[in-house]
Amino acid sequence: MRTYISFSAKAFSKQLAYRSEVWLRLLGNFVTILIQAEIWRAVIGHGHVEGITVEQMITYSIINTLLMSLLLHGISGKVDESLKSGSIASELIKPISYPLFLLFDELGNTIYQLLFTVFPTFIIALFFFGMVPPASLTHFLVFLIALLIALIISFLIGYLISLLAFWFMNHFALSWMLRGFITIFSGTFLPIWFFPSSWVTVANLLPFQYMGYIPAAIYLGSIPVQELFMIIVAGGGWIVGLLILVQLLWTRAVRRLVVQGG
Amino acid sequence: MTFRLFGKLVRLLLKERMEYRGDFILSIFSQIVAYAGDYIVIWLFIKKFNTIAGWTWPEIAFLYSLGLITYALGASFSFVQMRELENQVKKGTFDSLLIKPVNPYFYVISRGFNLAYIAHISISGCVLIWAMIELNMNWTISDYLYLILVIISGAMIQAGILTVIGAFSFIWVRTNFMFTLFFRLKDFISYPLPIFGTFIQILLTVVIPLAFVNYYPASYLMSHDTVMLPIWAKWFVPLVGLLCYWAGYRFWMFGANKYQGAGG
Repeated sequence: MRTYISFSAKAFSKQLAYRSEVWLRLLGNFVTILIQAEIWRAVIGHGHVEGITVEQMITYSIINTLLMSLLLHGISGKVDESLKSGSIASELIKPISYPLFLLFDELGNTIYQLLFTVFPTFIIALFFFGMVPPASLTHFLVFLIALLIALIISFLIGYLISLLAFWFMNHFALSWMLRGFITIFSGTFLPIWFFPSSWVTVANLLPFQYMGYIPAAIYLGSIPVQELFMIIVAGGGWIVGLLILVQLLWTRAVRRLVVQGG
Repeated sequence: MTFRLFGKLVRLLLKERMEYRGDFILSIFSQIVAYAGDYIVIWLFIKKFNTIAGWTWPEIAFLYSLGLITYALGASFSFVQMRELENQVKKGTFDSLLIKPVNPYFYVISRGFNLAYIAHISISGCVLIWAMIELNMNWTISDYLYLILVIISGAMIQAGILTVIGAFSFIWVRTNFMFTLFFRLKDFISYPLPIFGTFIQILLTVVIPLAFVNYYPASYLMSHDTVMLPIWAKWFVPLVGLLCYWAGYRFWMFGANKYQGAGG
């Protein structure tokens, strides 16, 4: 365990080298929240649509923008790099678990983002746009669990994509396709409660809603208390399912691996 | 660098990509899927709310496609080339370009000419044509000519801005974060300008003239009122394109002349 934590620490300190860029990242987040806030102000105004007010939608946008900096599906790029350079061979002979190494390495980045991007953006957003408080204490506690589920699912999806790249040898295409699905079905911009019913059905069949819509909807209390338990259980189900899938693919991928130089 | 030489280079690049045909086609397909995602989200949005600031779905589709197609055309001559410049400066490989008997700017942009934007161009081109049919506008020949001018100038504006950012590699070396910020700012022009406050409107008209890429020309073509500029200002659009691109080129050459190497 201590070995892995030191990977996190290393990733964290690597990020520290670029701390001068924090200002631009904050500006970028501010721009994203501003665009979404103005759009919601334009279409909702002072009233409400399906019981949702502008203040709630702005809070929804802020939560999603912050969550985007924390998610871990970016790891697939890292695996792709070591697959192409051949350095994966030396990663594999180390007496550590490669997937766990990836997870802890990425967690180091997430902790950095939490301190240097998410926390300051939160303060700025609170000051410029304001946020509504969580619907209730229960909703807030379940929201924290949902955040954890979002992190785990995003990691597993990124990891799944990187494993599929062992077969397709085109990580570029896989990650672009993933982007398309996440844009729609995570509900990051347009919450799923505004979807037409057939699109809601599709969104419910996919795990992407756990990476944006579900945590924010829980925070706002749009999901009634009695349904919270089932949502969390279903999230846990996705985690178990994805874990089994990546475990299966991983053992096959390693057997398939041919390193051409490096 | 003559046009014939450029044509030859593009043919060679196409041959190179076609060496791995399946891979190339898969990449193009995947990018179309990704952008279809962007279109679908906006479509779902308008399905729910009918209009944004008085713009209907075909109008928004036209606006968004104009932004995307001009980005793709402009970026094929600038984005990857300018993003890679940072590494060339860092490693010192840029030095070898300076001793070639061609203009270094034209060499950089043509050598890196990016065919992958076929994906962006096909999806945005199709949606653009669909939106024009759907809107059923009685356009005259001059409107069509204006649209062509607008597409060229929009590409020049985006290429100009990307070139300016790339030129900062000669001064600051690291430019990656500026590209990221550019893409965040570009999100503004996916929606009609009037939904944003006065400050943003001035920013996107005067400082970073992205509103000239699609918002102003689309408003004139679809007779929407524009808040900031009068109707005769529609002829500003091609001028802004030329000016932006020229400024980008001059700034880049200025940087390249100042360039002294960052070690190697």
